[in-house]
Amino acid sequence: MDEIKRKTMEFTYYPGCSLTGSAKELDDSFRGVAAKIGVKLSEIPDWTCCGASSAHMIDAYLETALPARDLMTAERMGHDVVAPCAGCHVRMKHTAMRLMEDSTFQGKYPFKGEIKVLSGLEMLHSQPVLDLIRDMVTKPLEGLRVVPYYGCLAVRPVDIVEPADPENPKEMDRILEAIGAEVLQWPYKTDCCGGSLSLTRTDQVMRLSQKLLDMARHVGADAMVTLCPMCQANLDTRQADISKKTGRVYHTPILYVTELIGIALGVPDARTWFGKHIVSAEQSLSQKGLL
Amino acid sequence: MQQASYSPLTGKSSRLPANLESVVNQCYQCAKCSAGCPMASEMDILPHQMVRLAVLGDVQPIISSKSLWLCLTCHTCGARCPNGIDVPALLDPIRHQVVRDKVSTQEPQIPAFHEIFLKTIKWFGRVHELSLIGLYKWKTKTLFDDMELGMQMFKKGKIHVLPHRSSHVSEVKDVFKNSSMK
Repeated sequence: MDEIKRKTMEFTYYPGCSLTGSAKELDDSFRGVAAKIGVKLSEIPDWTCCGASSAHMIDAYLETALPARDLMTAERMGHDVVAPCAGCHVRMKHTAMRLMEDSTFQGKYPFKGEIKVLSGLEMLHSQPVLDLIRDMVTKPLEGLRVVPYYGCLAVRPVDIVEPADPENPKEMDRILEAIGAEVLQWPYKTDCCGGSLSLTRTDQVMRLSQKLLDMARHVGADAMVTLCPMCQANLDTRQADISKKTGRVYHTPILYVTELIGIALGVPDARTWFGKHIVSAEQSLSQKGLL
Repeated sequence: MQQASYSPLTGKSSRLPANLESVVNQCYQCAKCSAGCPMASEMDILPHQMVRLAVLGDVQPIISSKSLWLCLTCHTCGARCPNGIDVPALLDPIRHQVVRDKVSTQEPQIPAFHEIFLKTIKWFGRVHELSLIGLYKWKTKTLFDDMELGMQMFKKGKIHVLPHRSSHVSEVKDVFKNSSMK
């Protein structure tokens, strides 16, 4: 038991590009929560980009080879690797699967498959970690009504992510319940926000994002909670444009689940994370005495 | 290895990988993919129609479609298909061919964005958001869209002026040498 616990409480960490820039608060809150519950994260030294949503659109070799070197480094580091960014997780796990089955890559990238590639949700929802989070809550998020928004890449492609339930995932629901938030049921847990066309067809992104924001408001959510940097950035940054276009005020905070865990566990610098959002969450959180 | 396969129905070469073609051939046109596709209302050829064209070995209409690039790769179709057909997995090799052969496309700004995205990875080893956005907006002549948002992101420390240059950038460049983006 002790050995299992020791093994699972240390992970190799692949933050990915978004977490150094537009999703800095995800990096800060993920590390902050991990430190608080005693999970050790060892970052892959000077990692490079996984190719994100672009490599697979343009070239098959880039798609598999861009994450391969960091995956090999992670295997040498010995622990399972966690990628909090849903996009990085899919790209890394895809490469791990391809390297095992495609002999043309084995000469250059002799990956043995001895480590697992975990998403942020898989790590946070794994049994010792979720139990620790539940046990360490000092400020339950009572009265905070949230909709869990998984987006695409937390559940799809299904043959890569291998979700327990691709249409109605419950991992984030359970984490949010463990920290005392009121989890609202809604139909758009895994509907696409349009993120991959964010700059190239902004009109469509606004259409898809508005649909999600309207439903979140309809069910009475104080905030949407996600773990995907593309979803967060997209939904957070486009609300001003949607307000302008429709003449109605859109103001739904889009929060990372790790930010809320940080508040519930009393992580000291949690307050600083929320200042990074375009749609401010500070007012609704402080009204409820949470910030 | 991509294998060209010959379709007796149309006499055309589909240029789909053989393993992909075997999966695509299981389609019985229930159109569940199109029913759930968030972009269906904008598409000129619907997902189930693209699958049918691929079965017939007739990829040219897909190559010249808007749908090829409007697909969000959200994989909702693939998650719901009773026969395990994932439309983005079918479209990816076609997109690669279009980019490799520099075929002119509808929605040209979409492949342009992805190529600029990959260029910043080739230069720095990581994505540099300011280079990416700047180059994309320069190329598409939309320099002044989203200026206000850009300033907000900058003030919040979400956009860095200077890129992080990885010490592994030469290894990343080597990866690109084996691709269509040399």
